[in-house]
Amino acid sequence: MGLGLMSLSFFLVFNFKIPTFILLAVLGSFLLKNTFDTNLLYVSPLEKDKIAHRHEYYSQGLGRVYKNRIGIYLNYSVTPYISRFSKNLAYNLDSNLYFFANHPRERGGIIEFDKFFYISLPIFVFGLISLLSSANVLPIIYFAVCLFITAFLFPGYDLGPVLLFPFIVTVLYLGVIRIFDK
Amino acid sequence: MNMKLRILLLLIGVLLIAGIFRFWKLGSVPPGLHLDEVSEDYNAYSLIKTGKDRYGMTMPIIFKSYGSYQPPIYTYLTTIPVLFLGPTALAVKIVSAVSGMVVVFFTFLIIKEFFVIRKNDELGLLAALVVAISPWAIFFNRIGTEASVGLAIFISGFYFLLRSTVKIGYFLLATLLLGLATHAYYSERILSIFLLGGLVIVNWRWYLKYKKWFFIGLIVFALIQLPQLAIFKSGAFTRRLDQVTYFNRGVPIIREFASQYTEYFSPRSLFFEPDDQTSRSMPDMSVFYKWMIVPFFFGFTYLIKKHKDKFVQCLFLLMFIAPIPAALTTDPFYTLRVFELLWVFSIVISLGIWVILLKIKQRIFKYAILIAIIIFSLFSFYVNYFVLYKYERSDTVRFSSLELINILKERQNDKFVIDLSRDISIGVRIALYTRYNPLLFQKEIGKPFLDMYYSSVDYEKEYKINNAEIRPINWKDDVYKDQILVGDPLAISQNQADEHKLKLVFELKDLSGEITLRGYSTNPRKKCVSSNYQSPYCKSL
Repeated sequence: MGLGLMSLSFFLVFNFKIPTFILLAVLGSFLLKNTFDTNLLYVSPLEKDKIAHRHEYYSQGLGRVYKNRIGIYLNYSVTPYISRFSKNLAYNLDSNLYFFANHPRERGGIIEFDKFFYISLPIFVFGLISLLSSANVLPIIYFAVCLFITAFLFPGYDLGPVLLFPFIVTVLYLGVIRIFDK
Repeated sequence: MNMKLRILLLLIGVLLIAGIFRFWKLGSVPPGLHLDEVSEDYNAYSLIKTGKDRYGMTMPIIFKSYGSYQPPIYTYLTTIPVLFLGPTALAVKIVSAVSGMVVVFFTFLIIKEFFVIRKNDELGLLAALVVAISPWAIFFNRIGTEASVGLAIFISGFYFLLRSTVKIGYFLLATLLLGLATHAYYSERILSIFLLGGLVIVNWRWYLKYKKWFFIGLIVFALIQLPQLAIFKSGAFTRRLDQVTYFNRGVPIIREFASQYTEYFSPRSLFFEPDDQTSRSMPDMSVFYKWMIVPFFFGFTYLIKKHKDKFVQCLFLLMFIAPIPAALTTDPFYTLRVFELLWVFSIVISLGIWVILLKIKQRIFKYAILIAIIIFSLFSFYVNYFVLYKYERSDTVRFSSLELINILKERQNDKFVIDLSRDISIGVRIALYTRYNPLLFQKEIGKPFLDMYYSSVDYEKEYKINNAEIRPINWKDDVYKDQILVGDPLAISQNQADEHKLKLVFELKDLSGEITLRGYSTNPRKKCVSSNYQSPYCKSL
């Protein structure tokens, strides 16, 4: 996995499109197979209780707008899963997850750790500015694809959202280049 | 149609949307008042009736309130609605809602007059619309919070500061408003100085040309700070910072500051997860709608490309300084402290929407998308606020205390002991809802705290209002007196009720159906017979 991520970082930094996506497909499939977040398809008793309560609130607050097949279907069969998926998505979008061990919004029951040195954050910011002002779309597409895949993975697994690490490495690289160019 | 008339009508439309979502059911949703609103409302009432606050202080520089201090402008402004409506829930929220309207209007003016692109009017309208419909703006404009008025004064000051770079005379008005903003909320104390300094540095050649105006402006700003300087050493001025900062908690300061600072730029906190404190957020809704992350990205990209423009530099400056006050505190993502940042982000989002809409060639699709987005956003806000927040968070505004007051009125011959362990505002709440004479409050409750108003944070913890004693329950004595004990399930457990022979008189629930308050009548005779401890009160029975 480590070797794969290093290679991915290399391909991404030097803009090798096809190798990047081939390797991403391999690593992504491997991760989806081994660390898929089964909670995405599971509604806990506590959540069921919350949904039942909300059924009452929606009925009182929205009336007919809610009390129909679509409204009830959305409350019971769609919202819980979308909510879980967007939560996973949100965890991976938090820069503090990578640089500050998720401080100050640590998650309960998960061991948080720094993935990158926090002193490298300014370089990351420079890199991000550099990326957004350039026409280099590969890292952005890579980021979007990885973000989507990673949202299906269990957010508490030991390594964290590893597929996004090559993106951060690339942005750090762009940051270093920008600083030294100036 | 005339272009100006069209823009004017659209602006009225935006203000109408903003107004509907800020004023509709303002007095009843949320179904109660937050602790700070209670204090502001009763202090405003007290000021009108006596010219003094509830402790008897004449025109305070900063209002003492439950172990801390409240910046003064909000309470002083609240005296106006309280004068006409009385000390009601609606009266204390109106200033905040009006402040929200002011922010929407000034957003339009700022973008219209200073942004770099052509057709600024349309972008100005879009920016005003985004502010008008953003969850953070509507949510907090419906709470009586000093931060709302702080933002309104700050943004209007920002507008005149920008105008002063074209016509120097506006510099006086800008410094006046930015000076006032420091009395409106805590964050603005730092931000006003940073913004003033930053903008002067960016435009130093211009201000150098008008030295006289510049120095008069600075004198105006300094004069407005004099009241704060008067209490600078008393402890009141820095009390809030002492309460919330991590400087004295043994944490690595640079790392802590950096992590708190970056948290305010985190998409997780901005678009996905609500503020951790339930009283400051809606269920399942963050400060912006989830879809806004897409235009946020486009807007940011656009701004980076236009970074050489002076107005864009001002926005970046504001974006850079806005999280500083909040990052000095321990609370993760404390929305109230970063209104200026959220305002800048709203502009970034509107810019992103504008960039995306420009890519769509057909006008009909453009408007259809825009209208669909507005309807979807407002509907999801309605569901999360007017339905979920109202029911699931009614305990945060102490909905059940309203019913408790009715019980107190109905049972005027009974004596009550009301526990304040988890609602320190309960006594002032009762005083507010029963319109308890502020003169009596000052004399009987406030007086001991008047001498050390600014230097001590002690506040009322044991006092009496009409037939109710407000204090923690004293289990040693209270159960031997004939009275009704009121508390939440943590204050009086079922075991305690059984042990002390208490009889359930009433149960009060919040809107979600959870029991929040219980009232038990004591039975001194039964208790004296059953207890080994011989209380002095048993002898008189």
